[in-house]
Amino acid sequence: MRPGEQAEFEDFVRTRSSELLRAAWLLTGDRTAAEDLLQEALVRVFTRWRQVRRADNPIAYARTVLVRRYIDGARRRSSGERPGLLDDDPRLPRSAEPDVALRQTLVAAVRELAPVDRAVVVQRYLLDQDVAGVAADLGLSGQAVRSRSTRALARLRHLMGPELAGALSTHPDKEMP
Amino acid sequence: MTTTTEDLFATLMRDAMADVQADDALLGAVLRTGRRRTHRRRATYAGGGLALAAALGSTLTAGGPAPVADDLSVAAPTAAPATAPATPRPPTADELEKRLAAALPGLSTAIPITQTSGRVEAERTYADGVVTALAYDSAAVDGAPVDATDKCAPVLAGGNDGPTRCAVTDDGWAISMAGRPDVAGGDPSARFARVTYFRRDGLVIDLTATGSGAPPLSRDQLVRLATTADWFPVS
Repeated sequence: MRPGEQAEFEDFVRTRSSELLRAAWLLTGDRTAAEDLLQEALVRVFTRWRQVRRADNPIAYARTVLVRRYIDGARRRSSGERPGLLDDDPRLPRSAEPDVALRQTLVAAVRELAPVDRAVVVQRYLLDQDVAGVAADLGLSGQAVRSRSTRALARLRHLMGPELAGALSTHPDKEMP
Repeated sequence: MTTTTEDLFATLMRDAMADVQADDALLGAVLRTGRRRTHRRRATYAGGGLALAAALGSTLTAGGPAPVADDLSVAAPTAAPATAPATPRPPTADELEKRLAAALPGLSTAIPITQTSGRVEAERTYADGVVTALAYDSAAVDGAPVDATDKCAPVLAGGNDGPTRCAVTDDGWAISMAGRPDVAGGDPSARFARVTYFRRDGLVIDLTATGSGAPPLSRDQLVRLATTADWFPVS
């Protein structure tokens, strides 16, 4: 990689890695696993940076790599595997900090979703990707993405219950249907 | 489900995750792993090279027999003085790079150094591999000097001939390993050798050699380098 290309890549990582880490954390349900996933994804971007930097939207490529690596990994793992003490483990104390407590609740709820549904929710609502983009990344039809979104949001509403009501009070301009 | 609900969840998700920030060490880790992976791919395509072997042959054998794999008689380039310095300290990034360059001259390319969390790292790449050095003070990084007695005991009791081996010196413990890198998606022919030398004064030097087919330095060459070269300057 030429020095200028490396400088561009380093700038890309510095400015975009936190955004990608948030998505990885929600996907994996665990910060350590998220950091591992993000590192793997960014290494992939690094090894193809010369092509990626010429593309219109490098962050879109990085998001796609991240989500596909997560899905591939989830398929390889056994369905009941829980690799260690996760952030939502009931043995961990709930934070007294409102923002941290909301994150713990959200991470715990998202972990209850199937891997593909997690990916749909994270891509659509955290990363703000459109249905067509999510469908292309996950190899689904647009209709499948929409139906999975609807089903996943209903499940999250049920799982988050009281915490969601509490969070709603901080957004008075919003109301549940 | 209405758009209002979707907007609400989107806002909640962003609020809940807003204070999550990636660690500064991430960039260094990505660059190191990415370079190794890129290098291994190139090495596979090119069939490897002999530049490092030639360089080592002229450097590490000074005053000793020709180096062979796992030959403990390989001489270190800059032997430590017989009398231990009063207060050795971790090298600065620049000092570590210079020490690594002195230990491994030849047709190599210095890699920009990453310094994170009290650890100093340097890399040199060769046609057929990469050698990485990592130095730190375990007293500062881990809170207390590492005592590797317990790490070495089961290795020594098991015959000290497995993938992980231990050498106890007057100054510390050199724990070494060799085999295939545990990196998903890497070159299947890649091999590595690594030694972590925990000095009794708390200073640690970690050397890793990775290459396609074979690491550019053997395990025992790395052990010799780690335990005899002057990695830690005196302040």
